[in-house]
Amino acid sequence: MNKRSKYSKRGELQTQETILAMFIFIIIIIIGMTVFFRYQENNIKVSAREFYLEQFSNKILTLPDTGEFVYTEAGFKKNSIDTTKLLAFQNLVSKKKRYYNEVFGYANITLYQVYPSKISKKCSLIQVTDCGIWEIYTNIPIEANSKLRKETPVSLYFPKEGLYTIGILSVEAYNV
Amino acid sequence: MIILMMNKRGLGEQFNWIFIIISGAIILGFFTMFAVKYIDLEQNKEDLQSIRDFGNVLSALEKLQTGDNGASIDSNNPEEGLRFGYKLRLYYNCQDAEAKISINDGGFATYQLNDEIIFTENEQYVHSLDMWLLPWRFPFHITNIIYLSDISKKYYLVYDSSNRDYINNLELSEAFDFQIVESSNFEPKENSKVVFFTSREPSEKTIESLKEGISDISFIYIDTGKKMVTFYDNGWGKTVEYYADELMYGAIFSSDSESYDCGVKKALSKSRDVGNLVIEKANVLNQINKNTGCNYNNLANMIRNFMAGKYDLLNQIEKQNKPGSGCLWLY
Repeated sequence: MNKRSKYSKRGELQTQETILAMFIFIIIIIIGMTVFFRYQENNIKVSAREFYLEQFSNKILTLPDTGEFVYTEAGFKKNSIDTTKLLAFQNLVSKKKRYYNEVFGYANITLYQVYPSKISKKCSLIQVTDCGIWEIYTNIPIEANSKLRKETPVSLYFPKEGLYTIGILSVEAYNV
Repeated sequence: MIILMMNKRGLGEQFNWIFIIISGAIILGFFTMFAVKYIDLEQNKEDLQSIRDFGNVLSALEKLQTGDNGASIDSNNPEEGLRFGYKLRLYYNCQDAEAKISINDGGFATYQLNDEIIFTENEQYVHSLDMWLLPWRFPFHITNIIYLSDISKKYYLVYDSSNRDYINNLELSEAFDFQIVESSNFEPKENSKVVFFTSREPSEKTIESLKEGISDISFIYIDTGKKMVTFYDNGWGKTVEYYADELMYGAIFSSDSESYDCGVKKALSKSRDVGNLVIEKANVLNQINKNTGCNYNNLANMIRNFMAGKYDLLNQIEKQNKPGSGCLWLY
């Protein structure tokens, strides 16, 4: 009788051990899977962020070629930024601030002439010549979580003088 | 006593089997769940990479300097093309002049179309795409319009005696499978679109007979005189007006009137943005160029009216936009 009870107790103990082992095994699998999927999901989120940054970079790269900035003759693009359009754009933005705030959001778009000479004077309708900075669009938030800055070299064309120069297009985008 | 012991042993074995089955099922369930979730994650990764490639191609196309006929990417040509490497569902969604492209379930794999004007089907199951890029001058350069299509799709451009010359003079991209056919003599195949340029809208009876035995076929009618497009969906539906050939081509690649109308509105909205800038440039030129012989104001007024819907001013604007005698190009 004692022997039987001993066997039964050992059997029960073995069963309990197996259940415990199974339980621990399952817990380990769950933790492993959670960690693995969290890691994978983070990877996707990082890739998605890279994609958004790429989109932002592409937008800047294509900005000089958009109808709003590119110099055209009879509607044909000439691969340069039209400096008179820059002045026109400045004016248009001041007239339709709300609309352009919706289009560009919190950003700062500025163009600097760097060759043949750097001129620190800002260009405007009053100062058309002898200037080298065009503040195309400025909408800077009071507080921002992060800022992204991108620059790209561009070709500038002065239609009145028939002159080509080189500039840097700088775009700062703010995350609020 | 012996019977009782045997019963207990039998019960123990039964319990063992039940225990093995339950724990086996749980483990199997976990691994199945893991496999499903892993496939889902890998799919998301692939989709994200595909939309990234797609976005990069679009940006490159936007920047591309092209001639009058634009540029094409023919995915049947092994040296070029936009291939995803697997079959995916590509969705185009345009609502309230806002458009986006997404792959499969969307999520991260979504590309917001800001300045890009694209005409394509609302849903396509594709592994590669043919692309056509056409600079749109209306009359100033607005943007490059992009047309996308499944590489296996056929386009039948149907003419009758009245429109033969018009259709033969269309400068279409060779990347797409366009077949110019006479209305009285053609048999459409699967996965095709029939575009009627005929003098009259074909009857519903004609359409039904063409549809017979073909599941994946659609029809549109383009009235080149009135510049109207009508889509067929269990009967001829709503007509949409177009204002330039570049927009008319868009109808060929669009799924329905809603999607096409949205694309046209998006294009016109972009043209208004550029038009406003050209008007503002006229003010700038007036200030920097004091030559009284340059009539920028008149041209700016015409552009203002043009943008308000008087599209018949197009030729007049083009004639006036000529430099010379110290005047500069307005656009």
